[in-house]
Amino acid sequence: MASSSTNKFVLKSNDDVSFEVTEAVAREFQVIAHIIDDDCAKKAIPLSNVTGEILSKMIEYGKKHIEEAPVDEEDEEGKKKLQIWDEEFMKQFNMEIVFQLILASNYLNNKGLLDLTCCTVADHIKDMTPDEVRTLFNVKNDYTTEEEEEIRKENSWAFE
Amino acid sequence: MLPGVLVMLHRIHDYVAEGLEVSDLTFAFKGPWFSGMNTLVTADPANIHHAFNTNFSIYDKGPEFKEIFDFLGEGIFTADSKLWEELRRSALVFFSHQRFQSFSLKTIASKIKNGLVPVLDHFAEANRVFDLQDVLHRFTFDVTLTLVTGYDTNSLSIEMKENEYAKAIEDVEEVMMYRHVKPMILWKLQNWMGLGVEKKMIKANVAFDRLCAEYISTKRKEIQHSNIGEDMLSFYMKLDTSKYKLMNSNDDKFLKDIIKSFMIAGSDAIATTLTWFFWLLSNSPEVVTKIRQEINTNLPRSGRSFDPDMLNKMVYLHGALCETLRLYPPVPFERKTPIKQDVLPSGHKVDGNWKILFAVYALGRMRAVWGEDASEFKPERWISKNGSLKHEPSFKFFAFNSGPRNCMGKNLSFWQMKTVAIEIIQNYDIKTMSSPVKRRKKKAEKKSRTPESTPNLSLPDDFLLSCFTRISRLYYLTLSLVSKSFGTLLTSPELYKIRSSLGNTDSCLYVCLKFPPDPNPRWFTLCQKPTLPKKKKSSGYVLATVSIPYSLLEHCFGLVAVGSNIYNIGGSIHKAPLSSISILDCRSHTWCEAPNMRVERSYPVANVLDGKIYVAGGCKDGNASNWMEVFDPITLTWEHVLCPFADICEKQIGRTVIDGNIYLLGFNKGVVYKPKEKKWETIRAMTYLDLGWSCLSYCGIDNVLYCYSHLDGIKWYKSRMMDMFDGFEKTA
Repeated sequence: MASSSTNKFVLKSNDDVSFEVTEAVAREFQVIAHIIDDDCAKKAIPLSNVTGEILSKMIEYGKKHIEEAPVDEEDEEGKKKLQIWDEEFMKQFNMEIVFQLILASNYLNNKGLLDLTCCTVADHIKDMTPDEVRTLFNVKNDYTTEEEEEIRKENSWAFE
Repeated sequence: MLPGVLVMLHRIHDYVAEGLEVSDLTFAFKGPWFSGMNTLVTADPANIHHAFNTNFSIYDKGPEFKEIFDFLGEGIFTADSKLWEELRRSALVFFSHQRFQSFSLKTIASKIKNGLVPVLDHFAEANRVFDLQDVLHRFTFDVTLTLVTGYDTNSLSIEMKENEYAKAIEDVEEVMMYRHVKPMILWKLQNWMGLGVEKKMIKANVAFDRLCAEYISTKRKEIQHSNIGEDMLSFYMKLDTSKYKLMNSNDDKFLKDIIKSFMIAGSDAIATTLTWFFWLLSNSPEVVTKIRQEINTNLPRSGRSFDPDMLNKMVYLHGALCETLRLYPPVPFERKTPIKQDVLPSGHKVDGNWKILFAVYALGRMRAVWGEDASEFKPERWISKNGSLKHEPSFKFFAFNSGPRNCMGKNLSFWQMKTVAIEIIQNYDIKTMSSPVKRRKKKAEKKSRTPESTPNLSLPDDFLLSCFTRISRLYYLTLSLVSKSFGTLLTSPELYKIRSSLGNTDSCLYVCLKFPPDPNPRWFTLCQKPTLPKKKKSSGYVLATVSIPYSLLEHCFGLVAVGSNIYNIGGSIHKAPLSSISILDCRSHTWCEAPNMRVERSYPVANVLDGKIYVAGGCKDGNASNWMEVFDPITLTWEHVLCPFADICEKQIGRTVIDGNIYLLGFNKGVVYKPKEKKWETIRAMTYLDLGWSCLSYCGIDNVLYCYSHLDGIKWYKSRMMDMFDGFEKTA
């Protein structure tokens, strides 16, 4: 039975990179916590949807949030510090990595990281022009010329 | 309502779909008094999300559910709360086990080779008409029985002998369907007397119980002598009961309930879906061609055992199966009962006396949910622009349930359906009615494989929504210009429901303008100006059109906002004053009604204070008792507010709230109402304002009074104004 806090687990990415983490860090990810609870984590835990590159970042995030977890609900300073770290942490990634982090944190079920990554995308795209958003998300402009004309007409003063 | 339902039973699902389409996705009906059937039928994805995900703990399956599904005992479908959690946890462990996955793929492959192929070849050679549903039902029954118990009754064979166990499962499904619509007292009576379809249920139960008992005792002996088997029964017999306190693996009844639950889950749903799938294919030859192309491009020509990776590459086939599940979900209804009073996102109030039927069949056919082509079979719907599978949120594509109770066998069922589909489509032509099966000549030439395209950067809609909810609505105009699907996502009711459930709400300015001679007002919201170069951040805001149908406002006097609702209070039609209230929900941009005022008011003034709406004036013969009333949006009730100055107040036209008090300002006199003290006072106009309180529009922001008149434009009075009011109050 896995009970001691010094327990270690090995997480294995889909490109065969292994990471040894403490149980506390592993439990930051709901899916892995379930696997541990069900005692299926004797050997390495294979994570078929996550690459080594992404997994290493997620573990870094998980570690930080275990080590620097605010003492309690009242610990405003602790929360603030972690928030600043979160912002700095996200700054190092390009959008492609952020997208992959979204999918992976959804897959491993870490709500905090999913929130953080979605917020990062939100902040990134809000000041973009439609064209820039299209390039980023790889979507085609599927409005016909007439439809676009119609929107422009409806909001004519918005486009002056 | 009930007799209508019983008569329509043979096409009840279409009937419900039609009903829901016209009633905005949800309708309620109260059953006859003895039936205990207060029922709400809904196909609104927002309601599903609410009951199955965000408020899962409030919505139970309810005691009646257990009675309807009494065949299942305490299995995973009927169990609630703690026991359910344990069952769910243990089953997840079992399903995700590598060993079980390879066992299931092996079982499917072997059943195809030794069961399905010989049977189909037999029919093909004889060129005989046969019942495909029966074949598929036997196939899935055998596979599931093997996976669940490790034993096989070989119901699928050339002789197609009657198999009482396979038949039992089929009968049970049919009877349970009837029980959903019959009053409980009636079906219980029938069951007790052994009448009608209930007779089948009794027979089925006896037959299946016998089979279970036999398997359980054989398995117990086997386990003593050999290693643990790969099937589910072995798993539960060997369960470590120290981790699962509520489950007793020595209890034969418990094991029997497990077997039955998973038999129902596994066999019938897959067989039904596959039957509809081939029925749909028989009318869509172009889909068959595309699936054959996909098979030729992605799969090796020999062998029938595929690994999950190969099967996952069959994206178009996957889309075709999803389409089948959307149009013909094997479980057409889901039901829940709230354990306490609650309000659904659609605005319906429900409590423990209500059962909510989630119309899964209807949901798949709602044009409001799936678009104008909702009724068409289009696998392309499921494929994104870069060729990968398009994700639809589970509360919209509900065939596998949603939230904590979602289907654990989803992957397994897709593997099974795909393997069967590939085998049949590759080698046979299925035709409905005449000349059903012909052996297809296998194509000799091998097609060269297309190189795999590199995955593009893209996010499934779920996550796009998730990002959008974190952006201020100011930016939505720009984002909706990106593409049609962005536009649809940004106006979807789900978006606003997620926003409010996350608490990601922000204020948004709504403007309602009239452009005579057009009698209908137009609505606008404040937005960030699009097409701005990124670097130059400017404070460019514009008003963007929002389409809000049925806005019949005579004037905008009675418009106030509380939360995400705008209330349109009173007014008049053809000069006749109204007491009605309509509410614009700014999340869905639709109108609904609230309880009428006690008095008709053509030009009321309305103020919001502490979440309550104070409405004053505009009525005929205003007096102390009818001049003002207050509405509580939470309890939806009106109350009168006694006003001693009704005669003075009659002439007041401007109004505003400052510092917790309501000011009603007239031509040279004003009154102030202090709700906390329930006190009225009069105030005089400020002397240096020649015209007194002549403006029509007042607004108090941070204790500064702003007013607008078409003569003077916007004027404001800074903090001194408060002193003045204070001063005047003393003299009043």
